[in-house]
Amino acid sequence: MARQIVIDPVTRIEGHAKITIHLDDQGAVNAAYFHTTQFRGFEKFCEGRRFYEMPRLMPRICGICPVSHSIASAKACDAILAVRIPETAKKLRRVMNLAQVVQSHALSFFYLSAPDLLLGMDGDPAKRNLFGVIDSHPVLARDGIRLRQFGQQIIELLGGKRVHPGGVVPGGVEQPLAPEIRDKMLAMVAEPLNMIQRSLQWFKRAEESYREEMRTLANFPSLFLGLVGPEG
Amino acid sequence: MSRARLATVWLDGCSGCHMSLFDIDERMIDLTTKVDLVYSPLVDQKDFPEGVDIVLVEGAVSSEEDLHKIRLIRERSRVLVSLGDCAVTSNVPGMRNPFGTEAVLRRAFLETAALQAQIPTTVIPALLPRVRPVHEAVKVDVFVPGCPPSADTIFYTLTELLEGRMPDLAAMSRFGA
Repeated sequence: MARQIVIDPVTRIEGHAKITIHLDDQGAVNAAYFHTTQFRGFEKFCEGRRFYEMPRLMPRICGICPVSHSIASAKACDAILAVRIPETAKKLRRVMNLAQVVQSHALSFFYLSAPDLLLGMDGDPAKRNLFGVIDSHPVLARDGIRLRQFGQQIIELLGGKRVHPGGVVPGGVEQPLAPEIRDKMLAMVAEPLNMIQRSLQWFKRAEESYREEMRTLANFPSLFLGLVGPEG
Repeated sequence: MSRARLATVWLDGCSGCHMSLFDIDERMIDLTTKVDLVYSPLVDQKDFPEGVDIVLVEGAVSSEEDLHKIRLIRERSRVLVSLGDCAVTSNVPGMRNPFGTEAVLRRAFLETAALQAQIPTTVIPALLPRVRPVHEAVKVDVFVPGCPPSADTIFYTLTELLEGRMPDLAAMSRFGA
């Protein structure tokens, strides 16, 4: 008999969603859908507002990647103003964005996905989460927390706060990088670099036990393309 | 002392308040010794459980599903915390209210759509005519304004509640910041 499997909510992801899987009479998958269950209407309620509000309003699309939305809207504002922003401003925006890449990857891997790899995809659902990882793999969990913290601290140093920072404005950034802030950031880099190396080594070893999943899970021709340069 | 049962939920918000909770950094490790996280976007429990001691609610009440959820959450929780400006005032989600549901859906799904322009009518929760703050739907015990509230403010709120005290947030929070 035709049947539907519903996963609601999808947990340990960066957002709101549910999945429905539709089975045919033989129990084979007929169709599968990923539904985004949240809608706010930014497309409409931004209309008529002052353009320079956008680098502050757009980050509220997502508190996990607010820097992306701040920079994207600031770029649109740059275009409206028809200005080329100073090279220094471009670089400072980029540093902030890279800091976000660090914190968001740390979140995605250590807080959200790692429980599957560390505690098993069939592990006890009540333990298969960050709290379970803190309990069973305290060193790795602390690395994840510290790595995310590092990204968030860089964002805070450049934008005033960690979530929904300022800093990025139409035409560039709010202020130059003070030498003491620069030195502070440089001094912070060594520890996270070690954590990343440690985690990568662990991940490459762990990969071996998931060969079968890697071969079968979501392995199909698609229009997506991954690009990695010689420098990684 | 038995471990407190903590839940966190995101309704119509941006996850930013949850990120600010995670910004307590290594204090998260201490927290695992004091509470069981029984429901959260961070854990795999699908249904909101009975007998929750403290629930942190991020986001406004925006859809029929949010309304249904928050009523169930209230029924099953001892202390309900309205966490962040969206929960407290409806904030950014509430910005759609002057336009009405139909206009915002039309703008996003029809007028600006490059492909398959259609307004979803099934599976996705139907939007309420107006976005409301949490306390208009259910009784709220603690209000923590901020967009988002700082990690220190959230940690203070949690530790006070775990100690059985009502947190005094007058000096520790403000709207927007």
